Amino acid sequence: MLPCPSCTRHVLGEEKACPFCESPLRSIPTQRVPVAVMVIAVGAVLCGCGPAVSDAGDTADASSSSAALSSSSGDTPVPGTTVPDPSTTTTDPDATTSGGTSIGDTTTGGDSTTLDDDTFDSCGGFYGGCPVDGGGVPYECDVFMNDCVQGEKCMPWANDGGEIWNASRCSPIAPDPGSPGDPCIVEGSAVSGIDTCVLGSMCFYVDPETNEGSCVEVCSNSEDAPVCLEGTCLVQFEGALPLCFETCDPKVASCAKDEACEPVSDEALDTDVCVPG
Amino acid sequence: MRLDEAKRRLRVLQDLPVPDARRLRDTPAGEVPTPRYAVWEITLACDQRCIHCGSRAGKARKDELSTQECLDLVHQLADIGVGEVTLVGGEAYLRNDFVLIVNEIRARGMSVTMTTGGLNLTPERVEALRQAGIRTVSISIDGLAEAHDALRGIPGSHDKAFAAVRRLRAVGVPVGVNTQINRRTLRDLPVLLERIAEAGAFGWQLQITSPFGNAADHPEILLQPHMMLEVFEVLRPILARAREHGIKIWPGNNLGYFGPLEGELRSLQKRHYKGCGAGRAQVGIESHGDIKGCPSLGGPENVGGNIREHSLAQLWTRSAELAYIRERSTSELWGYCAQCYYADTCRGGCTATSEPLMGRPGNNPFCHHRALEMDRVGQRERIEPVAAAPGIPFDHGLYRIVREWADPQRREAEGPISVDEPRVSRLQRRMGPGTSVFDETP
Repeated sequence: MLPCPSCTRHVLGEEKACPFCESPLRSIPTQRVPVAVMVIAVGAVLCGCGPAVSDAGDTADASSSSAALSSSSGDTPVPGTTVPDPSTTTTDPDATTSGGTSIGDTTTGGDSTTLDDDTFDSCGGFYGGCPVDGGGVPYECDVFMNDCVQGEKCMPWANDGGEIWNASRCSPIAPDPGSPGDPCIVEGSAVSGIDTCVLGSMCFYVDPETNEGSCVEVCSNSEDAPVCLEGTCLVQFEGALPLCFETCDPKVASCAKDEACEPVSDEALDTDVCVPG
Repeated sequence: MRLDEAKRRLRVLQDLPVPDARRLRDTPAGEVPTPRYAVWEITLACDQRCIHCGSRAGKARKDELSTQECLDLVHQLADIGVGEVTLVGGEAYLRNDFVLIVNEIRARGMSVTMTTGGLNLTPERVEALRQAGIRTVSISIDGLAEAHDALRGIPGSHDKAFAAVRRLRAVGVPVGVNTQINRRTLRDLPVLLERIAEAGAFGWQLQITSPFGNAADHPEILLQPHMMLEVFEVLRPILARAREHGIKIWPGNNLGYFGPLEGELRSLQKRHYKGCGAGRAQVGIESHGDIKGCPSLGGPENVGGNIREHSLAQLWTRSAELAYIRERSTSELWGYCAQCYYADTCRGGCTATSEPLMGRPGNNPFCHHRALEMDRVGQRERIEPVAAAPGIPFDHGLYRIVREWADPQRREAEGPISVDEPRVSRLQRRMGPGTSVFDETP
């Protein structure tokens, strides 16, 4: 579920327009959008509330649910509003229908999904208070080990509302995800930790205007002994962002046609890598 | 046991392991999840007399766990995978062995925090907490002095709470503040934020007062559902100002949901509310060993059993009471929530708010989205007391929800649009939306 870029109300995936403000919503693009050349470290400083995109967790239920609810409006028909007819909410205690459509059927019924089960608010209820690090312990999972449950991947993200990767989280893997090198799109911003890339990769080189970028392989194994299927592992932002890059020689045109050879460095490495250009 | 005796038994802080408080995700549906977070009422004894206290704290329970039983329970918590424990009361510091419990939790590799009113959090207790390895302390401050002292029943308690904040900060313990939003405190929040910032708190947890325990006896302090619009108008500038101060806003489970500020409000909680975690990632413990899913709910609907009779692992994996939230679906929703756009994600919001209000979870009028949608069609909701609470810890009365026109003249002329009466408890019908308490035949 993503916030509408216009009214900031959260909207279920697959919606073509926001049910609250009627603004049109974007869908996942099929074409890669080149972005400006940037040094990788600077690439982290991305921000901006991006357009709403489809969420892996919000399946086709969303549209049917919305339709049912639209038909349930009371006196004033407003798209997607949810003020049901009072007759369905008070006189019949078992009422779960609206406008002739069973809500129980349009949502998930009894099958509690993994997505719902494993994404509740942490830090229980009234007592936990705000964690001192703001958002719980920042490393919810091990990006190198990918120790999330099946259907999820461990992703770098910013847990403090900022613009720099500083934590890890388990995020749902999008349906039909993109492989390294494929175009991708992020939810909300480049540092949200939610994207359309396959397990073991993340959306990088994100254009803050479009939220579109390219899938890049994430380093595996461990921070002490990182492994890349292709390229070299660069661990940046105090370990929060370990990504694999193809190394290159700036004196030789070894990068792909739409890429440039740029210098990068981390604590252990000072090299040049290919970045989209 | 005296406090100085307890302090002599503490392990050296530098020798304690780094807490494994990393939050892991739940297991897939159908499997028993791992509780990563525990809220532990170690005593019901309290030095304040809060008129909104959910547990009706005051005197210690007669059969509270002994020190040895508590230390054993610490090991059981670690063994089932808990990563963080918050100690509460009553007032946790009224047990002198509280620092031993803190220290043992740390020794077993878990993180430990404490939530307290801070009234008698003396320098000695603060130093003992630090030595024991407390990670953070959250001080309860409900509004400015007049409101706070009235709600807490102790003149001067507001000033003492702030003194506790300063005392903890002085020894390097990070301090958060938690505040209940109700009719006495709502207007105080902007100024309170400034005071909190001055005092050096790093975060602020906000929640609305729920109608259980003593609060059930005081409908005059409870927000009305239609006031959620006003609540978020107050919160809007507070969110911006808190950012300027660098104070992290941490909404409690019952504050939201899904209005235009949801993403900002929950920017540290993965952007929007994801449903009640009781019995899924968190476990509650009462001072005499009762184990429950939600720390804020009690009674036979919620208590799975006692640690003196069963192991924590057995209660966590086998008790039907703790499994309720794991098993429920949208079929448990009723009233407005059953037809809500966000039903599958939200599932009626905070169980500890909806169940005490209506006798049954699944219909929660304290919702920003709901208030907005009502307002959009010129309507609003309010609650009316139906039945009083019996007067025991974590009990509740019953309320009804009245939907009516927002316009006073039309409201006067036409009366209620509809009424949601309270429903039968989960003891009578464990699952499903239940039926009106007035429809049940004897």
